[in-house]
Amino acid sequence: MKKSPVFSELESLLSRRILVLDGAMGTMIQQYSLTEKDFRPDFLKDHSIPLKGNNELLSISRMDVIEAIHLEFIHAGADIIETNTFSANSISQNDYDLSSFTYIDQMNRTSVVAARNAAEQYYREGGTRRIFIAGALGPTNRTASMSPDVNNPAYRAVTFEGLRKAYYDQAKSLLEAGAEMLLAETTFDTLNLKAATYAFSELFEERGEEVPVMLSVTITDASGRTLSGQTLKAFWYSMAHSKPFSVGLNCALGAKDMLPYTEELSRIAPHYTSLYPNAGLPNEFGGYDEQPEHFAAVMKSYAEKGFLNIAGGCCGTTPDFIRALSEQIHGIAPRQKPVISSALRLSGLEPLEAEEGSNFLMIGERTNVAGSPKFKKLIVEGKYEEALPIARQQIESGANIIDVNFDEALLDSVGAMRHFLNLMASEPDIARIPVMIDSSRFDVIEAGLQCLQGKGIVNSISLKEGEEKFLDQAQKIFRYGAAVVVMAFDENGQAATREEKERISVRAYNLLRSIGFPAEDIIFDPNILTVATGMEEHNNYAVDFIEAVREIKTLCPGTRISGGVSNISFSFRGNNPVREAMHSAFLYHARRAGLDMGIVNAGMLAVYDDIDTELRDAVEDVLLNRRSDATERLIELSAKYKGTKKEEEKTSAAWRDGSYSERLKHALIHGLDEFISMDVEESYADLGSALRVIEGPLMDGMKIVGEYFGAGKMFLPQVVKTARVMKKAVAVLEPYIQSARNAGTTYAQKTIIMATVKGDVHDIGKNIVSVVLASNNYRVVDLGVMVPGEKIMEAAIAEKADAIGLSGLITPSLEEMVHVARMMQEAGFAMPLLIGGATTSAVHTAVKIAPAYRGAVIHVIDASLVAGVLSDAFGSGRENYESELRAEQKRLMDEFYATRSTHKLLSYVESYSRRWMAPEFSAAPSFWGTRPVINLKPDQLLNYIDWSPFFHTWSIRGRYPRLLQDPVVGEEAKKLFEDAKQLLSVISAESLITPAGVYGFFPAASDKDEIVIFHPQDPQKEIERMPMLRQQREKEGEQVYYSLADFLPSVDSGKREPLGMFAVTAGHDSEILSRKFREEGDEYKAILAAAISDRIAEAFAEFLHELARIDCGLQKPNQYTTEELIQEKYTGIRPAPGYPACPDHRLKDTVFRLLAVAENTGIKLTESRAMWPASSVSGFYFLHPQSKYFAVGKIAEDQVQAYAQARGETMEEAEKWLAPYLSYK
Amino acid sequence: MSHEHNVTSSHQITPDFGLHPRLYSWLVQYLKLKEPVIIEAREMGCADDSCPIVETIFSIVQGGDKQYFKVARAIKNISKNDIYFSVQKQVG
Repeated sequence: MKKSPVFSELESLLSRRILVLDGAMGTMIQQYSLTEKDFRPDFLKDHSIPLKGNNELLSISRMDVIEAIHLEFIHAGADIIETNTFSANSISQNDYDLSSFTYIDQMNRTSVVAARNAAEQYYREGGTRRIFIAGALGPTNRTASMSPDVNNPAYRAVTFEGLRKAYYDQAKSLLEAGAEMLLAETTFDTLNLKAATYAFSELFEERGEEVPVMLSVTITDASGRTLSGQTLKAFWYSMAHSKPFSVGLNCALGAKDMLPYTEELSRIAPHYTSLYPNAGLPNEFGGYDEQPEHFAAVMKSYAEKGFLNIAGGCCGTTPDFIRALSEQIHGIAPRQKPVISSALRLSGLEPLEAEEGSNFLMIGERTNVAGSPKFKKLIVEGKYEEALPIARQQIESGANIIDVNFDEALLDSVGAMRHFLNLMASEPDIARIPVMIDSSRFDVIEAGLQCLQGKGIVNSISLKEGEEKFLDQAQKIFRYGAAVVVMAFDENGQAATREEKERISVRAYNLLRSIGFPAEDIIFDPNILTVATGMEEHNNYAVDFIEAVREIKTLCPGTRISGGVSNISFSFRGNNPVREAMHSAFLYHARRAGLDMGIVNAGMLAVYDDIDTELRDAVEDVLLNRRSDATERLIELSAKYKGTKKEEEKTSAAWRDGSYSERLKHALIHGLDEFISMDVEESYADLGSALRVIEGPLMDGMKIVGEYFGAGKMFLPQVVKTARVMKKAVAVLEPYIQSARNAGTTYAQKTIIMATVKGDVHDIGKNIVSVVLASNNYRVVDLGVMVPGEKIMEAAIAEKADAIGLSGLITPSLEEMVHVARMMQEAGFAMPLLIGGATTSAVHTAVKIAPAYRGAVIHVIDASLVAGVLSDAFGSGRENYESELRAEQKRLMDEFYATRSTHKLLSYVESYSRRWMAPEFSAAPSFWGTRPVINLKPDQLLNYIDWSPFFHTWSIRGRYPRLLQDPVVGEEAKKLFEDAKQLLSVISAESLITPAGVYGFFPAASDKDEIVIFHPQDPQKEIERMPMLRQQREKEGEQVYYSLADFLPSVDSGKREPLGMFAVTAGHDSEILSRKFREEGDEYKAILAAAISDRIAEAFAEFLHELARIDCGLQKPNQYTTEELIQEKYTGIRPAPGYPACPDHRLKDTVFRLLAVAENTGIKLTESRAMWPASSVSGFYFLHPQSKYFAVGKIAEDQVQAYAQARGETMEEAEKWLAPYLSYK
Repeated sequence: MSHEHNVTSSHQITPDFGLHPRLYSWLVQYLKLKEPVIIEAREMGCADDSCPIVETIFSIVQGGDKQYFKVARAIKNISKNDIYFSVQKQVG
């Protein structure tokens, strides 16, 4: 199909500058204060319905007004003007009883004429800019993917077909009248827009010419999504198939609120992008004050960031706004379209991206009348709403995509597909994932596609009925914007052998590619056929499939492969243990060959390594056709496994036979919450008091948990699961407790205030302590992170606290803790103060914090100890405990001062004279300056994860993987690890975490102990100085006293060597994920998610460091294994500000400035220089092969003086930041 | 010209709220409200007549505290999804 010449005209202009779109037609019309008469052309003067407000009619009745408005916008600088046709479609005009084609056609045609007249007037006036006329198409006033009737969520006020026709008619009139491009704007329902692009595609095909199509979506601030619930990325994945000329955002938000969305769209869309916001966001009282200059300044900042190709204004933007915009963006280079890698990108309300080699996608199979008798029964009986939980259950079990099938003779399959998909769309937790529409009937498939706003998959089409039908169906699917499963069938039937599977797949691939079907949207299903049937010709079916998978991946590049996994084991129906083992073993081998996804019962898959070895060997003999008697042997063995599961279930259900006290104990000890509500209610009914339930069976259970925990028979992860159950139990009792309170009965419970101190964002440890406290029946008031002392004081008073717990990870937090202790002293408190966090210590607590406060100050070294500590602090032996505590702290203080006096420090001058003299070294990075790293998926970092610290978070010590075999903690560590891996796979599959990073290289040298940084393009131009600290504490037999400055050449030598810097984060989504679990009451998963995010950030740092070494030619790709990376076998170091070699956290300021870290990654620094999100790492790369990690240790006053002078600050300021390192205070 | 939003309607929402029978229960569910609670809703449409955007602003009074919560849709059209996603965005 030929392209209209407007494409090349626009592209030529867009290569040089940002084009300007006009502003708000509606706002301008209102300025004319028109009356009903103005809205009535002669032929409607007797129309029975008021027409004022039907702006499109003005193109007919007051064309002079519309022309004048267009001309004003052109004079203001608009290059593209939109026709006055936003609602000139049969659906919107129905409100005015003007939906007949005659009216619609006339509105659109005269509107184009009005725009052309204005453009021609401009040319007549001598205007030289090319003015483009875009036919504007609004979203209509109905939505295809939502119900207007809240009592009937499956109802739709408009169908896809109705929308398609309305858009087709409007677009046809616009183009015939001379519109040069189409602009489908203010999209609030993606399914409406899909109908529009479907219509455009048909129209272009009929006309034999394609014109540029601009798409524009509306995101609301209220939900951060489209009005139909999609995230921006999900929206784009739904529409990418239409290959628009441009895609952008308009309406609902003012310019400044568009930043995250315009940035994201600019990054993910390989087309031109547009942005035309409202003139600001109204406040809740409807007021709005934004001025054109402010609007234009914000738009200019986006242009400078490289986000824009086309810019304009929406509601409220008058010609003054467009003029200011045009002036501000003049001369700024347009955005460069990014190249986006090929991947299968699907969406529900949220996106799902599957790049080659990414995690296996599970397709839930239970919402299938052919596969689930339960589902079929509900659907046949018309109980659609009752069938929804089956979909939900699949998703909760890990399904990434949900297969929906209504191929059943007794059903109206078309109606059932529509009804169920519409119902699913109203459930946010189901609608978030993509749908696979599964049917052997194409009319059912089309009905399904017309209900999906997301990008789904069609399952399936084939060459069974020849090429013509195959291509016709494929063309339609492409137009609807879905991916497709192609079954290995042709006119001769089903492919069984490897050769047949390959031949048919290649034939289908070539046909699909010939009509432009994207390779990444083709999914082959080469037929998983049943093995172990007793027929010899079936014995090699699994091998044939696996080998075909490998071959098809090579022959049909870019495609994906799927299959119905349960087919493989039909011979063993009724024996689930054997079937599960077969599925698991088959997937293990097929995945290694390249199988990307499979239809499985997501809740029933054995772990390959957990399959009994004897069974696994027998199953693999069958699957891999390793011996002729494999089937007989498996049949023989299967009798042994038949019913195993049921027996296990029976045994595992035996605990339900006990009394409610026994059941509650069991549930608490084993972390089982399934029956907790029922059991708690039963105990309440029996005991008649919430207090008795808590103090009786619940506390009995918790005491056992406490004993087991203390004796090392239970571990922290289990305690956290226990806490989850306890929390649910208490929630059940909450109404009863409340009524008891109202009746005057009080329930004595100690209240603990928990907070991460001001300036610090790290909260995993604090959260674990909170959970342990809650599980020990303390009432925890968690104030969160970055909590100022004043707020802690207020909360302590308001909540009548019995103790306060302070947490912090970074060294400045230590000073803040002292500050809070002083505030507590001044407030006259005497309650215990708990101190915890990675940098805290018993010594610091004794020396610095305890003397500042009269109450007991207790350093809690480990979360597992907190309950015992508080039990002592509140118990009857409280006085003895406090006295022992104070005695111990006095001993630590005395020891500290005594030891300190024995540690000799060299003078700063002497330590500098004994600096390390670096042998000459040279490295040349492949680039200078900064480089952001985006679009990195968590699973690309898996191999870089050092798991040991993950276990340390949970108080499980030792090195991974050895600790998994530990006789004491091994079993629990394995469970924890499994949970972590499972969550990690969900995080990867659903992109729940979006890591971001930036790194760079700068020419650098050292001037004494200062690192001097030079401009990346001009190694003589100094841009920054960083004073570093040097070791001073005397070391016996050691001649060298290190500073990081030693690892760079002296500035006097004239040499410059690269100093690397980096900052990475697991992203803000990691915080959101953790918070989501916490809000759902699942503290275990919340902590798990936070601990995994920390690992991902660290892994990212490791990954990036490797990349940096490769960039500098110091390492080859894949030179080191994960273990070798963890052991730092490579050369060079990456010290982080705040850590021993460079303890001043303020060095992060330099990293953040030079790498524009905030802009590139979203990481922010608190006033204490903690990074937010907490799962972030930043630091330096020193490349010298002999550079090494060291601890600066204690420093003397002479060095602090020099340091303060070099930084241009007072001694007091320097001492504040270096407090833990001072030898003299 | 200023770009003002017009208040188009105002209601107090109760469990038997006539215009939208499920709205009260969704708000209580997703905002984790505990009764007694007073919920008032105000619809505001864009002052640009041709703009399709209407917002509903809820003011929620509970235990002496007042909080605001916005949904970008007219009251009668608010779906469970709207409440769910708006809570995610605004309440976290």
